[in-house]
Amino acid sequence: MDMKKTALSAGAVILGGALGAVSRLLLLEIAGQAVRELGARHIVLPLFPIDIVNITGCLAAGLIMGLALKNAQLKSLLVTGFLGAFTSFSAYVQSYAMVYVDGGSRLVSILFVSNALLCLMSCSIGLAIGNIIRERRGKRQKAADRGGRAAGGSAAGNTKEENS
Amino acid sequence: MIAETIICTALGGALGALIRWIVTSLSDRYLGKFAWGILAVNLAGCIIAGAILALPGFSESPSTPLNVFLVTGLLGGLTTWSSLATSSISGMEGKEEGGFRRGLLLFLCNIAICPVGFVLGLMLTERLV
Repeated sequence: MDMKKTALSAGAVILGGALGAVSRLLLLEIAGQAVRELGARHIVLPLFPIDIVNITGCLAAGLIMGLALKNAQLKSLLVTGFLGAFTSFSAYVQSYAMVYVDGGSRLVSILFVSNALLCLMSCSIGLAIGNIIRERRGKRQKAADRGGRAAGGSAAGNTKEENS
Repeated sequence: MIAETIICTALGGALGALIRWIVTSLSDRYLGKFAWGILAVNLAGCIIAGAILALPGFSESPSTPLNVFLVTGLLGGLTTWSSLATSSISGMEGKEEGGFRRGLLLFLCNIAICPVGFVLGLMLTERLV
């Protein structure tokens, strides 16, 4: 049983990792183009494309943590596999360090730290949103369990659908 | 975008994620509450990324299948921001004793040590090659 669960989790991590890395590749391509276009016109974003990937990945990871998923395999697939491989620390460090090595200014270090704080903040915001959704769902569930028809029969129906 | 690039990224990402999962699971089981596993994969990934980027073959052709497999796939999948953020935030916002200090320390260690690792990997390789 335990072996089977471990093997399932490993499979979920492998699948999620492959999908996450490919999603990062595609999003970097799109984001890179957008940043280049914006930069060429008038705004120079204080971001590398990889920062956009990391910030969205951290937001999603926080959200999922707030939802407190019970299915271990689903968690392995989404969090450890997909989001873990979607976000990348090496690409983040590489982007900034290359500018620094090529004689970049002190500004690069400030941007490096501020983008790290942005990732942390987006995770915290995601967590807060996830917590709110989970609490609301819990309240609806409780209302449904009590058989309180005043709380809304449709809401009870929804939670049943979500659980099935 | 060529199909080859996507396949190499997927293979590398799968392998990187698997290694990260093994390392972080072992760290969680044997090394206590501080997320050494995340620091280890991120630091290792950054040192190796620096070393690969310094190789003369890489700057000549960064998008060969092997380079895409290694850098975009394997190292990108091995290192992670999302796990770092969730571990730091759950420590800092949780009610556990010493959690705030652990979360903050994990975050600071990663953003302070990993860039140094990257530059060291880069410079050592440049000197050796």
